[in-house]
Amino acid sequence: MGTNGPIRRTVTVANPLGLHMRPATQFAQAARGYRSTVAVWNAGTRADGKSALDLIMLVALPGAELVLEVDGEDAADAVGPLYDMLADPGGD
Amino acid sequence: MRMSNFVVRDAILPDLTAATRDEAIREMVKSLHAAGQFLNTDLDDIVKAVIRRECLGSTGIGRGIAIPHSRHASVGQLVGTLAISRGGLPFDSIDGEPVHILVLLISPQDRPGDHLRALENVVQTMRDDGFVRVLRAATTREEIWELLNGTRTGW
Repeated sequence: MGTNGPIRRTVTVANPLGLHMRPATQFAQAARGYRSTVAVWNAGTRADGKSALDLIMLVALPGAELVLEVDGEDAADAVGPLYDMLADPGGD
Repeated sequence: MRMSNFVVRDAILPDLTAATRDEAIREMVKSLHAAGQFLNTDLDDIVKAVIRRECLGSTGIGRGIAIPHSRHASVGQLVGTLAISRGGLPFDSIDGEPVHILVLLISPQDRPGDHLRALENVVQTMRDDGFVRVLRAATTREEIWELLNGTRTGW
């Protein structure tokens, strides 16, 4: 557990197709590379950021405001790259 | 939402003959075409688009399920079909297991919300191990349709 509690960042989904399967899969894969707990919230729904299927269940539309929540010893390292992935406008 | 909202009943394939991923995708797209969902001239292009998407990363979500998909200008609304492969197909799935249930989704270019909601619906539906078991045991189009429509129970 992080000594300072979870780090939270609000991020707007910039991908014009929303958080679809491919970015969700890539995000989960990246999140699994950290020891911290990674959660993504869409309104009142929480997804385990290390599970692509959980992220798909968020139905995060283009423009949705998500909250990225990272908690653990490497949270400070994880939050930037993970934020960037959610904010990425994507290629398709 | 139920899967019967976007799965085309007449395109359901209870016994896929394909032995490979690409053949399966073609068989499913052909079935959607035969059910009147788009013109013959678009068929090859849709098959290529779905395979191209698959090459970017497998849509095999594990537990024997895959959701190949693509956007395509030929459809006015999101359409889908479901197929069952009795022998299982190599699909480079997340868990390495062969795929037995395939749900193909073709969506219009400009309706990302419909695609995301359908995707969520498939994932949610397929989370139920009991449902997946009964679905795999179904042998007719009608039986599968009733399961997707929620009118057949007993699982």
